[in-house]
This record gives sequence, structure tokens and C-alpha cells, in this order.
Amino acid sequence: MSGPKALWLRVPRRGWLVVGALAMAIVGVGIALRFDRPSAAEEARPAAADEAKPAVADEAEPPAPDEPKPAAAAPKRQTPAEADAALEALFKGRGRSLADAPKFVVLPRKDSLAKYPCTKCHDNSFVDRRVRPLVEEHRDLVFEHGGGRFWCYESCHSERNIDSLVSLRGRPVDYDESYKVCGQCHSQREKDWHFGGHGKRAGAWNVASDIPLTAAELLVTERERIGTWRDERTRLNCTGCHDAHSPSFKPMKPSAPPSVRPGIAPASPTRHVEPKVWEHNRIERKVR
Amino acid sequence: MAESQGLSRRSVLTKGGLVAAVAALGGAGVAVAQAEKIAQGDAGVVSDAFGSFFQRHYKKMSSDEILAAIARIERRAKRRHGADIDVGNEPPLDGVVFGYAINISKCKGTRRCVDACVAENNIGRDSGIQYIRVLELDQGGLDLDRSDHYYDVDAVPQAGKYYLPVQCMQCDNPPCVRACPVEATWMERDGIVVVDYDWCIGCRYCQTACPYWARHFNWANPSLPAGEVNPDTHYLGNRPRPNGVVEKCTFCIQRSRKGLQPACVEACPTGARIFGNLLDPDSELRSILATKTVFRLKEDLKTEPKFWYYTD
Repeated sequence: MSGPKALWLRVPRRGWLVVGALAMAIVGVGIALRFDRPSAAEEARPAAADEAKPAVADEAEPPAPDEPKPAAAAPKRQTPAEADAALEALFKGRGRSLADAPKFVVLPRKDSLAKYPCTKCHDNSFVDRRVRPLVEEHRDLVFEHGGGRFWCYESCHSERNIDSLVSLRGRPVDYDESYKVCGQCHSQREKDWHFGGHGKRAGAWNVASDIPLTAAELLVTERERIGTWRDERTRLNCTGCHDAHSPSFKPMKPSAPPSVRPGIAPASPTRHVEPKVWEHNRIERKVR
Repeated sequence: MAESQGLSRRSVLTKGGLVAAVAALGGAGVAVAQAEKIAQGDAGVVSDAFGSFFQRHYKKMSSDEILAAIARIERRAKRRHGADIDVGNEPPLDGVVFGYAINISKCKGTRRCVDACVAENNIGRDSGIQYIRVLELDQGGLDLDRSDHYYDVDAVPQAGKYYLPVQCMQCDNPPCVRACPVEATWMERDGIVVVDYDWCIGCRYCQTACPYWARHFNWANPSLPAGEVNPDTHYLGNRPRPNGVVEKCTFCIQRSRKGLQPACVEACPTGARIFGNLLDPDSELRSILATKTVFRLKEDLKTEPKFWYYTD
């Protein structure tokens, strides 16, 4: 008792209270400053009046499991500008819409349709809708599209106006724009075609070639020979390469294989089942 | 002792050298006269031979020298192949770097591109050279060792197979260019790797350096029937080549620098081949690179090919 008191005992109790209050004030101001920024950015938040308290409850401490969830983890809402920016970042280079596709010209089809206009024979007032084998006309058509599930008037050709195609919603589609009909189901291909990942630019390398490569090349005109890689692109229509009634590419005979230089044996298709080097060695050892 | 005989080693060599020089000059004169006689009025043969012998590297020639070289090449094609060809010298286009993409989901292995390439590029018909090699591979793998490019079947595509055309990738870091000891091959400003056939010494180092088997060697003078010569040629492209030089795909430089698509692109019956300008953000090529799953062949070699494969 008689010895000198320790330093902390010499400070009066009131002094400790002051120090504690100061420390709490500093911490409080720090927390308030820290959470002031996001709450200021989100002007829309209605509870901005009670300042630090709800902010601390929201974000500094993890919400207790028994607390009501929607109040604890209120999702941040993007402003329209932020949403636009995020969408732009998402679509930049990936998954752009058809409206962003570079402009191009589609080769007209009607010039090369031998039987067009259809009203030469068809009468728009009479339509035979029966599904039947075509024995008199159009005998060359093979109905393989969709596994043979389609018939003329249900999905592509118009009953009322046979000179045009028809969309699924009943709108007429010109024969030159048949890609609009195809794209209703084959939307991914249509998108690729618009941007260039599917399909061909116009241009037949050698029209005088005696082996026609595709149906399109049979009907190629002088104008179509000009195929360019530059931006004035002219693309073949879907029906320029695909037969609309049997669209898949048919197997073709490949051109001749490369000749083999003297001294080199052509690769044998069974070369990989021949004995391996180590198996040769084993046989030799046996003989020895 | 030697002086007493009046016949030193030096004097023998000098006199012998003089005699040899005189004989060589006379022989050359005779040869020239003979050649002129053989040419029968076509005085270009001898002068062309001299001109070709002293022709400089393509990049070091003045425009007049290039024009003279082009005239010599055209006369030589007339003599050898009986065809009137037009050798162009179009420079690279500004703001253009060519690139290429092949959709291997769509390639059916019909080899129509190969036919078009051989005819367009005046490749010797008997040489067996083909710039494009269509590999037939088992589906589900990319083991080039097990690929077959000699496939000869009745119909393609074969079940369980897919097809991978390989040609010059026009690498941005071309190992062939670094391998050439005489700088006879280089990359142009538009990204096409070209060969000066008159400067090539035929050492075939580039052929060894290329990991894509894209370079081919002319073992003989290419046989080109006159009716099959493509007259639209380019100095660095499809002009008829002499024997003993290396040649390769140039993205049909004679076509692409005029804005046309390469022959293989237009000949492809399935539209699997896409050609364009890598610097044009609206080109088909750039949209493919942005939206498709693409890969390049042997990418780990860091040759940076400007040639991508993609799938649907």
C-alpha cells in the first residue's frame, strides 16, 4: 500500500471514461465514413437517414441465420446505365444480335428457278392439300426435310399466294429471301450465316469446269463469278447450296488422292495393327 | 636450278592460266554463237539466260529491273509451255492482313479445293505436288500420326471420320523464313509468306523447318500443258516455276491482292472455307474468331499461324 501506485491506477476513473468515449467516437466515425460511399452511390436506398447503424447491420456482420433473409441480403439493383454497360460487355464480340450483322447482298433466287412463277401452272383459288405421291409434276423432288414430316402448305409454301413463301405467322416471304423461312427453325445457322460463320460468298472459281460442284454452280451467272473477300459481300442464299426439300449434303465422290512419290509406299490402312517394333525384336530373338 | 631451265612454277601457271582464259573466252563465244543459231532468230534466249543469271533479289531490284525480269519470265513461259502468261506484281494492300478459317464440321473431304489449287497455281501436273493435304482422321481425336491423306473411297464423308485440310498456315512467326540461308523467302506486309523462286537455291531447309508439310520441292521442270496454264499469275505466286526450287501456297496472291477469294475458297462445295482481312472488325473471319471455338494446328510451336479451324 505504501509503495508508489502503478501508472494505470494513478489515472482517475473519469480520464478512462474520456479515453473510451474518444476511442468509440473514432471507431464510429471510421465505420460511418467507410459505409458512407456505397450508400451515397445508391441514391435510391430509402433508409439513408439512419446512416451508420443499418449499414453496419447489413454488411459489416454476416447476417444471423434466424434473421429474415430479404432484409439481410437485399440484392443490389443496377441502374439502367449500368445494365446497358454490362449487356454491352456481355455481347461484345459474343452473341451479337442479327441487327449488328454487317450488311450484305443475297444472291436472288427467282432468276434461277426454272419453274418460277408458280402461277404458270398453279391456280391460287384451288389447292390440293392431300399428302400424296407426286406422279404428274415435281417428280424430281425428294421430301426428306424434317424426316418427311412437312407437306408443301403447312410450313413453307403459301396456299393463297403460291408465288411466295410463307412464314409460320402467315406472312408472305419472297423467294429471294428464303433464308427468312429457314431461319425460323434453324436460328443458330441463320445467325452464323449473317455473320459469316456459315455459308458462302458468291463466286465460282472456275465456271468453265466440266464438273459442276454444286447445284448452285450449275446456275451460276457471269455476275456471280465475281467473288471477293472485301466488305461488299454477296452471299449465297440457303437454297443456293441446299435443296430445300432435301437439305442435307449428299455424299460425294472425292477427287483423286495425291500420287505417291517413287520410293515411298502409300500408307496402309492396316499399318497400325502391324506388329510394333518391340514385337519384331521379340520374333527375331525367338529365331535366334 | 629452276632459273637455269627458264621454266619456273610461276611462269608455267601464268602461261597455263592465259591459255585457259583464251580457250574459255573462245568457247564461250562459240557457245553463244551456237545458242543463237539454236534460237533461230529468237535472240532472247541468250540475253535472257544472262539476265536471269545476274538477276538480283526481288526486294533489291528496282522497278525497271522487276519489269525486265517479268518480261524474261513471260518469254520463258512462252518457250517452255507455249502459253502467253501475264505476270503481275501487285504490292500488298494497305490495312490488310490475310487470315483463313476452316469449318471442320462442314469439310466433307471432297478434295475439290485441291483440284482448284493445282489448276489455279500452275502446279506441274506430273510432279504430284499439292499445296493442300486433306487429312482423314478418326472422330474424337486429333492424332496426326494416324491421319490418312491417301484415302480413296467411293463417297465421303466416311462414317466415323472427319477431315482436316492442311496447307500453308502463313505463320506470323514462320520457321521456314528463319531457316532459309539466302533469304529467298520472307513474310510480306499482308502476312503472306512468299518465295522468290529465282533466288531460291533449293537447299530445302525450309521444307524441313515447316511443321505443317506446307512446302514442296520441284524435282523436275513442271509439266504444264499449254491449254492448262493459268495466264493470270503473280511474280511471287503462281508463275511457272523452274525446277529445283521450293514452292508453297500463297493464299492465291495473284487473286487475293486483287480482292478475289482464293481458288480453294470458291471451289469448296460446302462453304467450309472462310478467307478475309484480319484487320477488318466486320469481316467474317473476325466474327468467327470472336464467337466460335477455334484452334490452330500445333499451336504449341508458337509459329502463330494465321489459319484457324473451327466447329459449328
